Parts: sequence; structure tokens; C-alpha cells
Amino acid sequence: MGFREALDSGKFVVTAEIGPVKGTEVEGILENAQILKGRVDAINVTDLQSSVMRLGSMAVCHLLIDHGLEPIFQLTCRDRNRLALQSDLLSAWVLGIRNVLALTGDHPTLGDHPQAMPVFDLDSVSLLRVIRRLNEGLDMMGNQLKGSTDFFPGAVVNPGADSEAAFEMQIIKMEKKIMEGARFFQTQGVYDLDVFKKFMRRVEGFRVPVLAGIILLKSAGMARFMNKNVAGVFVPEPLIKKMEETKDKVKTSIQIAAGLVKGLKDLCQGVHIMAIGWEKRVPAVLEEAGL
Amino acid sequence: MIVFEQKPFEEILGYLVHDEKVFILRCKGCAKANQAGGEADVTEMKKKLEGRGIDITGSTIRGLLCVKAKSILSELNKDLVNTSSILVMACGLGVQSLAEVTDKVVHPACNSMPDRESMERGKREHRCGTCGDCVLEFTGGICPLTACSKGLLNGPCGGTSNGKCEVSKEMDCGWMLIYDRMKKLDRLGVLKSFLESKDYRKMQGPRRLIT
Repeated sequence: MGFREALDSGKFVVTAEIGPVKGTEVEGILENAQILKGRVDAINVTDLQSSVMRLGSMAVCHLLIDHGLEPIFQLTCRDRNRLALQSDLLSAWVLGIRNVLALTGDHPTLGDHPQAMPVFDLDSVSLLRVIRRLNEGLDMMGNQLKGSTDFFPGAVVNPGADSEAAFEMQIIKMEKKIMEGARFFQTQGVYDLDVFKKFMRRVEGFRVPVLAGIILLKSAGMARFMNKNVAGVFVPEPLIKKMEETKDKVKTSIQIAAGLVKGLKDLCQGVHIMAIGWEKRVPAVLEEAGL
Repeated sequence: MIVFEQKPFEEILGYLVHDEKVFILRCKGCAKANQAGGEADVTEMKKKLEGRGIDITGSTIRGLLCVKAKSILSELNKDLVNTSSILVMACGLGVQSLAEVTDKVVHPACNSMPDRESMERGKREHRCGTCGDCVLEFTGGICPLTACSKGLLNGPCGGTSNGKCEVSKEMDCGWMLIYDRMKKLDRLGVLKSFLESKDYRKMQGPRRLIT
């Protein structure tokens, strides 16, 4: 069963994430892919995450397909204008890529080439509109395509936005994304089930599947760093304490993640596990969560 | 008005070839640019270049180079007879205006840059992106093109934290300002409108505008 079918079937869907290497050594990526094979419904491949120059998402998506995995092609508006975005979408389609996650992208000043020109010719909402048009056999200008795409487009939302304005704007933008064709959502990392429950209550009526983000905690330091520096991520103090006091960080991390997955089972349609280098631990999280 | 600052001295020196005869011309500058120094700048430059063996044929301060390049040049005709190049201490507009009217080599001594200080102080100059297709009707009179670091037209990215932009904690997230304003006006529903991507042709100067 493919990713789209899995979501349609109503089963609790699991996606994971792979961040391409900075360079050309793809062995590690393929090793992780093999570990995730059969355990997840699809794997997101990030697009120069944190604006750090690295191997491209499209190439790694293609490698995953070659190895029998289903990728979700992450596509940001940071580095490509509308010509490049559309062309890359056509290229992705002919390489066998079927799922696309439309994103704004981090600002280049946050990455390792801060001098780069920020593009943002389109935004995530207009990118979704473009994907819809390509699916209809037309480009952004309405020109006819010789052969269309049939992408399954998704988008992201941040359920932990830290103020009323930020939260409400997330909901408004989510609605706009749905209007423009988003068929699924993946969220920023969730650590507080009450906050997430409140978010789900607001968006249930949209009837678009939501996969809650799970970021594996590697240490108390990482949790504190995220609380300070990652927008919309808030790790509650008791979890930080658990990571601080444990003698076996891996085991505790897996327990925390599995606990969250269990709690999320009744709240949303799936989870998106961001292991950030700990991809090998994902099967253990799923086992512990009873998936 | 264009703000400019002097290039690093070694870079300027690198422009000048052996036995080049250089005349230094500093633009009187617009009000703000003039704060940079004037006479002292020129004297200092002359001294430093001569100290490195460059033959300086003369120097002067005239203005405004951008609008009076031609008449300034004819006034200086005599002084430029034994000169092979002109080192211009002016903004990019001044350098180009002079290059247009002389056959001598023109060296820029300065870098022109966005006037960040008055952008911050008055917030006036950079509030309008002159995009040719105003959307302020839909955003509570706050422009998302200039108030958002990414110029996003359809809502904030996920980088908003404590009402600030992911680029800098000192900078407000433009979309939070837009939300607050629209809430006050009881027009939040308008934020659901889809705003079309910009026609970049309308944002270009005449050279790049082909219609």
C-alpha cells in the first residue's frame, strides 16, 4: 500500500525523514533507508534543511525509489524561482516521485551560505496552487503541458505557535493551503499532547489528515536548545529532566517518543518521525508504541 | 540620496597601475553622504596614495556629480590634461555619471549601500517595495513584501517566535503585525484571500523591463 492509499485507508500512518548528506557519500542514507524499509509508509527527504548546502532532495528521492521506498519530495521556495520550481516538479515526476511537500524554506542567512540571494518568488501557498495546475496539465501561466503530473501534495503547519497571533495565522494559512490543494499535513515537533489536542480540535473540521511531528530527543541539551531556538517547539521541563537523569539516553529517548506516539494515536491520522541522525532507532520507537 | 562608504585602501590601490597619473574627485555629496568627511577624506586619500608611490595630479571636491558631471568636467579640463585616470569618491550614480562624459579611466573609491540607518529610524524608505501591484487593502495597510523578511504574501512561515522574525530576534514578524492590525479592524476574514505572486517585471528598472 502506497502513502496516499495508506492515508485514504484510515490506518495510522507513519512517515520518517532523511536529511541528505553534505557531499556525495550516500551509503549512510541508503543504510538508514534499509532500516526504515517496511516500517514506515513514506520517507520525507529534506530540501537543504536549515539552508545548509548539501545533496539535493530530488536525487535522494530517486535513490529511495530505486531501493524500493516511497519518498516525499520536500520542495522549498527559498532557492528557486517559478520557472525552476515548475521544472523541478516535472523532473521529479518523470523520476517517479509522487508525493510533494510544499514549504517556504528557512531564510538563507540562517545557513552556511548566508550571502546567498533569498528567492521566495512564490510562497508555500502559491506553490501548492502551481502543483494543482501541473496536475491539471497546465503550467502557472495556463500553457498546456505535454503530459501532466499527478502529485499528491502536502504541506506543513506549526501547532505549537507561541502566541494567539502566531497560532491563528497558522490556522488561516493552513486553510489557504487546503484551498490550494494540500491533501495532508505534517507538523513541527510535538511534545505537549494538551497543546496538540487543542490544535486538532480547531482543525478537525478541515477533514485533511494531520501527521504529528515527533523529533527524537537526543539529550537534555538538545531539548533546551530547541526551546530557545526552534520556533514552535516546546519540550516541557519533566521530559528534559528525564533526559538529564537517565543513564541510558537512547532508551529514554525511545520511551519518550513512543509515549508521544501512543498518545497521538487517538488524536490525529499519523506521525512524522524526525530522527535527525538517529534513523536506526525509529523501528524501536514504533515497536515500543505498538505499531 | 545614496549612502556610500570608502572601499578598503588596499582595494583602491589595486585598481591603480604603475605610473598611472591619478586625479582625485570627491563628490560634495547629498546632505547625508556629506557627513562622511569631505576635505579631510580627500587630503587623507592623497597622502596615502602618494605614500605608496602613486602620482596624484590634483584633487577637488565638486557636486553634485550625479547631475552636474558634464559641467564639472569642463571646469576641470585644465587640471586633467596630465591625468590618465580619475579616482571618484562618490556613490555609484556619481561614478557612472562621470564615466558617461569622459574618456579617461574612472576608478570607484566607494561602495554604495542601502541606507539602513534611515530605514530603521524613519522606517519610511523601505516600507514600500514599489512592486507595481499594491496589496495593502488585504493586509491592514502593512506591506508583507517589505515587512516580512521573505516577502511572503500568503501568511507567515513557521519561523515566527515571540512575535519576532527567524532572521533576527530584534525584528518583528511582519505577519504578526498584520494579524494584530486586522484583528483590531475586525477584518481577519480578509486574511484568507489568496494573494497572487508578484509580476517581477513591474519591480524592475527600465533596462530589465521588456513589455
